[in-house]
Amino acid sequence: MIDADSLLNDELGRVFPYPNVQPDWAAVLSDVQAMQQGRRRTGKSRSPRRLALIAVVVVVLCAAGSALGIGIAQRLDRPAAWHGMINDWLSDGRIDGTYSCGTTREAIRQLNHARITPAAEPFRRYERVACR
Amino acid sequence: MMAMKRGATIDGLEAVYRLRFREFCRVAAAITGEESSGADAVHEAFVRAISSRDSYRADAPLEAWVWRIVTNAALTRRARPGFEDEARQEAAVESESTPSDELGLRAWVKELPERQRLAIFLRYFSDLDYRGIALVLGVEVGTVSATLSAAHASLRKMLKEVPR
Repeated sequence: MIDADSLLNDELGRVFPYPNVQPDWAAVLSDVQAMQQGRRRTGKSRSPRRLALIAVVVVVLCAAGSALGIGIAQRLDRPAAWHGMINDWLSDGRIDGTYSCGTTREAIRQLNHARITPAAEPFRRYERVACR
Repeated sequence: MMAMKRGATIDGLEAVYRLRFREFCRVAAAITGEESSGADAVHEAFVRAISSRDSYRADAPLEAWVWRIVTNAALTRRARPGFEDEARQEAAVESESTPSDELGLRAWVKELPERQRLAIFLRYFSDLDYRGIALVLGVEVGTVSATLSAAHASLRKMLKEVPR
């Protein structure tokens, strides 16, 4: 009787040799990064943590508006520039619009006031360019 | 190996990648039928594994989890429209370096039912035990044993029937 197990042990590896390819871990990581950036752009990967952060920011923005004594309806008509800048960041985690140095600093002040630390870095980066 | 409480780390996945890259590529190439698409499937699988590493649960070895992603990536790649034509062209280029196959094992493997084929590749090309193979295939350990027995019986039948 043919010992199929031994035969496959001996022959299968010869018939299906190792492919002649080299590992490239850096390319894997690069594609992961590209994929994640793509998701951020389309806004498809909003995690529960991020949604919670957005909710906190929205509450803080409303509270800030009330504290300044500005009616909500009036703010909807003419949103503050810093408010628009924060909304810009909230939409996809990036700041795509063009904002002045003053607007950027006001947005940072508001974010610091609300202790929203995850946003600090992109706004600081933007400030370095806008306030040169 | 590399078991963690919840979620896999990138370091852990890199270790599996570097440790088993050749085996992953061999199995993926055997599934797709040609080398380059097998390597592409392994690449895709690790991109997917890193992206979904939080879904890994330590009730199974990390390597088995990755094997499952690799085999699925290779099967998906093979199922894509137009893949057969591309593979035929690639195979024609590769045929010069293809090893001889007097027993007709390539044809035999190709004719096997999908699960038997995967079980054969995992049994002889990976270092997974029956439990690991069962996890990759999503079946019971006893089913792996029965599947391999059926494949062996099929091989014996083929070797008796085909005049050499």
